[in-house]
Amino acid sequence: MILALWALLLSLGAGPARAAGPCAAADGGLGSLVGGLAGLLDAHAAGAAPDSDCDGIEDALDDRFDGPVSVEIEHPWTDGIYSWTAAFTLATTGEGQHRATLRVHLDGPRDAAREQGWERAVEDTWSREGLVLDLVFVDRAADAHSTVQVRHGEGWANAGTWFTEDDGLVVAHEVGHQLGLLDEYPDPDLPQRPVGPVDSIMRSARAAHRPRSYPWHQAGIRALLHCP
Amino acid sequence: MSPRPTRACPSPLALLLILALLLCLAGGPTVRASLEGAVASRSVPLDLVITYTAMHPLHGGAIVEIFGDGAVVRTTRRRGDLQASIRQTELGTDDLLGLVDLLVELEAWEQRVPERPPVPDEGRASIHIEIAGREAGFWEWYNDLGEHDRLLRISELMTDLALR
Repeated sequence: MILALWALLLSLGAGPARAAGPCAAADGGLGSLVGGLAGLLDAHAAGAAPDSDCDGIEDALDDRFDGPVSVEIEHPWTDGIYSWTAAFTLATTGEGQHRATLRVHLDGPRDAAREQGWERAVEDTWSREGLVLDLVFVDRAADAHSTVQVRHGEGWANAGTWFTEDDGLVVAHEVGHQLGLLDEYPDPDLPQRPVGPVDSIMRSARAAHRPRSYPWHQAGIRALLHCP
Repeated sequence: MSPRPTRACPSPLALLLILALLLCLAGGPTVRASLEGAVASRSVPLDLVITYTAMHPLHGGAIVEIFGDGAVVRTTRRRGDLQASIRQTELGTDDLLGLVDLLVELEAWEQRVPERPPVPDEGRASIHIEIAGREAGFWEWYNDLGEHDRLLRISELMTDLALR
């Protein structure tokens, strides 16, 4: 299947690696395949190949191949003084839907029940508007998109450090950064930052506000594939 | 044609004296010198302001301000709250001097943690000191306060004093 798809890409003249764009392909054979697919996606972004259903396959080829396409996203972000790298797998389903997979290695105390609660809250928050998020906690850092330090007790959770007392909404907010989203709360260090509604998960993580994701969040995630 | 008047050039020593005078007038004693002076004289200048700030836009936190006249203002905000709560109290000279002693012991005018870009939602706690027209202080990453036990000691004492 993969070889057939690779052959299809070669026949289309898609390069083995992306020349530009926010997604960085992994090295190696599979990485080259991903790079090839990503190159095709960039070609779409340039307008060379319309992809009206945003499934990663140009419209003219939809009847020849309309299956899932998976791209490794690795995109450096800055938001004023803050900087980080968003990394996850973003796949099209061939049905105009998208599936994001985020593999996180937790470095610190582990607890299956706590992590199950985090996973449920994160996936419930982000799986909307045609996007399905699968958060997977992996044992080996080498298998992960990112490693998060976990510390006992309470603290100020951030994109790289969570606390055992953090509830699922806090973790959902932090996962938003790993998906490439920016904070939406007022920050005196960033007076120009756009402020989101009080119930946006990227503005507030307090349960009383019933924080949720908004369509622009999923659109922002999909934008890393240059979907229209 | 009359000769051009000559101007007297100040000696290098006079220039140095003028420069030293200007520096003194511009800056006054350093924060360190003022705090050490307070410790030596066992008296707290009225213009002293010590501020502990650990307030995060997302996570909430606390700000404690202690003034040289003994006034204390503690502002706290819980995660996600739009409103902060404020508590005020008064301290005696001994409590103020105890705090100044600790600032001197920990050299609270000296920044030791190096600068680096934060990741999203990462925040700092800080101590800010104003005295005799000068300012100084230092900060640490909030989540690392326990590792250094420097800013933490000051913040714990200030919080204790504010809650009296």
